[in-house]
This record gives sequence, C-alpha cells and structure tokens, in this order.
Amino acid sequence: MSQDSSNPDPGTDKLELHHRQQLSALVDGALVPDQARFLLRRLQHDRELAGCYERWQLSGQVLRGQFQCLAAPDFGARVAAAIQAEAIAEPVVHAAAGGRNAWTRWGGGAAALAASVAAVALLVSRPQAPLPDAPATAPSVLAARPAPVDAAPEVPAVAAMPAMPAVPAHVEAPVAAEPAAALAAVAPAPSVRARPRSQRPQAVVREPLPVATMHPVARTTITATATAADAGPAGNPDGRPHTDLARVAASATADAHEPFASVPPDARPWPRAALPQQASGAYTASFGGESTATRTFYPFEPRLPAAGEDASARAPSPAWDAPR
Amino acid sequence: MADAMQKDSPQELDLELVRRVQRGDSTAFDLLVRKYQHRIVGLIGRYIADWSECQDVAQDTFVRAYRAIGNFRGDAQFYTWLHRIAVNTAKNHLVANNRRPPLGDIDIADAEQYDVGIRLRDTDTPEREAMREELERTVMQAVEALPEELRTAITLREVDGLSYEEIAQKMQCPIGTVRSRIFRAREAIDAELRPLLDVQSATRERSRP
Repeated sequence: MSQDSSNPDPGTDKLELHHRQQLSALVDGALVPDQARFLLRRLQHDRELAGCYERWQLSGQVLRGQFQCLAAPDFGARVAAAIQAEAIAEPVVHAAAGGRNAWTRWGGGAAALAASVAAVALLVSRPQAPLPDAPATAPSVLAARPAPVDAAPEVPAVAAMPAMPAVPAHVEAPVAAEPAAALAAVAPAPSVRARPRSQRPQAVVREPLPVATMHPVARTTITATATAADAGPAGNPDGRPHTDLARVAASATADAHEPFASVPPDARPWPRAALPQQASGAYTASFGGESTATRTFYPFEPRLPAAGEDASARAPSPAWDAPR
Repeated sequence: MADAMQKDSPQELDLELVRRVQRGDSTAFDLLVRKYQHRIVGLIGRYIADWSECQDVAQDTFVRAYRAIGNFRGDAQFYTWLHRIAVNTAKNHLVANNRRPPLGDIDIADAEQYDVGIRLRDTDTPEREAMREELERTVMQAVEALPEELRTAITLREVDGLSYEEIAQKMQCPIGTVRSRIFRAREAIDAELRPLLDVQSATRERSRP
C-alpha cells in the first residue's frame, strides 16, 4: 500500500491492524465503498474497533479545539438502551415509505398467490358441483365460506343454510353432532362469526380442499347426499370413509391452530378412489347419472372377482384351455 | 482511489450512516452517537451546569434525533441538524424545570469557532475543567512527540481538513504514504489517550452514587 508502512507491534493481530488501517481511511472518507460497507458492518459488533473509532474522533476534536466535556463512558450504550426501551421500531423515514412499499409488495404477492390458489380451488371444486341432489351452486358456496374448521361453531345453522342442501342431512345428522361438538370445543366460536368479508380470500386459500378438509358436519351432509344418490352398496359399504373423514377432520383441526401451515398430504382431494362415495364425480367418464353408481375404474387395482362373478368368469376358461 | 468518498469526506460518512439508519439499521446510529457525543454533551453543558443532568439531556437529544432522522434530507450537515436539536432539547428541559433558558442561542458558528476561548456560560466545575485540560495536554503532547512527517500529515488532515490527495500534493508523497502516516499518527495519539480515558471512566464509576 505504501513504502513506509507501519511497523506494528509484533503482538498485534495483523487482521486487527488491517481493520484499524481501514478505519483510519473510513474516518477520513477515503475508503472505497465496498470496503467501507464491510467495515461498517464490522463496526456494529466489534466493540474494540468501535472504541477506537470513538477515541480517534475525540482526538480530532481536541486537535480542532472542539472538545469541551467528556460524555459518560457508557453514553452510547445508554442511548441505544433508551432507543430500544422506547420501542422505536423504525424511524419516521421516507425509508418508512419504503417499508410500506415493502409491505405492499408482500401484500401484493400474497394477494396474487391467494388469487391463483382461489382459481385452482374453483377448478378443482367445480367438478364436484353436479352432485345428484345438490344445487349447482353448492361448490361455489362452499368456496366462498370461511375456513371450514372455523365454521364448526355454526353447526346448528348448517341445516338452515339455504345454500346447503338440507334434504338428506337427517340421515347422518346425529353422527355429525359429536365431532362437531368436539371441534366446537377446540375452535373459538367468536372468531368465526366475526370474520369480516375482507378475510374471505384467505378462507378461499384454504378452501381448495373442499372434500378433504371440510368440516365434518358439512362434509357429512355432502356424504349423505352422495350416499343417497348412490343408494347402493358401491357407495360406502363398510363405513371406512367415516374413519378417514375423522382423521382428516383431525388434521383440519390442526389447521385451525396453524392457519398458515402447509396442508398435510393426506388432506388432498385426490386420489378420489380413496373416497368411493365421491366416485360419481367428474373424474369418471360420466357426470353423475344413475349409471355412475358403479365403482370408479382404477387400472392399477387388481380386480378381485366377486362371488357371483366367479363362476361366470371361470366358465370360459375350460374352453380356452381345452385341447383342440 | 476512493474518488466517490473523497469529497467532503467526513460529511459523506455521516450521510452514509444516516442513510443506513433511515433504512432501519439502528446500529449505524451508534456510530453517529460515538462520533458526536462529546460535542453534544459539551454544547448542552453550556446550558445546564449539572454534569449528570447534562448527560441525560444529551441522551434525550440523541433519542429525539433518532426519532426524527427520517426528516433529515442531507441538505445541511448532520451535526448542524443535531446541534439544533440539542439546543432545543436543552432549552425545553430548562423550561420544563421552571428554569429560565438563556436569551440567545449558541450559534453553531460560535460553537465551532469559540469553543475553547469564549465560554458563554461559566458552567464548568473545577473537576470538568481539570479533566478537559488534562485531555488536551495529553493529545497535544502526543502530537508534539510524533515524527515530523506524521505530525504534518495528521495536522493537515485533522486541523486543516485537507483531503488525502491535497496532503499528498503538499507533502510530495504518494497517497498511500499519506494514508499510512495518518494512521500511524492516530495510533500514537491513541496510545496516550486510551489509558487516560480508562482511568477517568474508572474514576467516574467509583464516584457514581
């Protein structure tokens, strides 16, 4: 750097010496911006270097005749503590405008994300709309409702909701009452009814899973509808979906505590083969006709012969195996 | 080299620190406090005689400055802006305590030019006066003990306020040499100043109630 560079004390750390040399240039404004940036960052935590900076400033003031009185040794720490104690989070800045921009930027991003997820939710939930007995507007109504778990305290109002089909609800309403009460004990009631319209996009964000994360009551209502529409053994012969629903409802309850947590994989609406009562949805070839009560075709599932089919299925085999 | 920061360099550093604070980096404000605390305490000491009270008002000054730093646009020097806050804070403190503030403000030009020679108010206690004299004597002796080239370099820089390039032209040496000489001079002064400050801070700690 120079021909008469300093001869440091051998005990002095060379790195510290280098930093002090840089600090001397920084005090005089003669440090290149990149190095100044790094050194300023170092000064924030290197108290020894910061003390050196303070003493050099003081000696300069003495040389210029500007010195009158010493501040207390811990003056800087007291000022920092006072600033922190007053909880001055950020100064009133035009930089504060930048902060607002940052928030706006984040908010804008969140809104865009919410909008895209809502669009996906509509695409996903709309095929479920043509349930046999349900009005065509049911899925959109569901999508517009608040978070499904938070809706638990509205349980008594479910049957009276005009958008919800109350037709077959009586079938499983007693079953639904128990989990609904349990959820009502978990989820705070006032937060549901007081939820403002402005928060609805957030509810829509969590809504793309109308089947899996729906509140047991509402879902059971749909289940009852689907069951009534299916009206056959293919719908729900062994009641297993109810256990799945209980499990999913538990995860939905967990969602109520962690509203921004990612949705667990088992709460996704697909594969729909896991929910046989939903087999009449749009993923099949037909759309909810009476003939769709049959089981969804699933190509990778080994076809187990039914008892009645067994004989008829094996009947041709001798013909095939018969020697010619 | 470092052309961007050479012009009016200490003010550039102040502005950079202010910009950092405005961006939310509150630790940059600590460097501004360390730089100007003694001058602000000295300025407030002209209004308020009691040393500890003076420290409190100086602390309040910096807190107010931190709150209002968003309004600082860099049109004036940072210390000019801080000086005004300190004067107002000191006067408000006196009024709040039913004491009469001085009729005339201490102008910043007066504060810069007549700091040592003209005392607008004789508020110095003998202890503070003795401490100031000892500190000044220590620094001056350290400068006198420097080799000629170091003493010239640090004097041209600190007293005359010349830039490194101007000093290099005057001393007919490379800028790197100027940079090194100034650094070595500061290290030599600091070697004398530091023990004195340590003793004084230890004395203050012992005498604190």
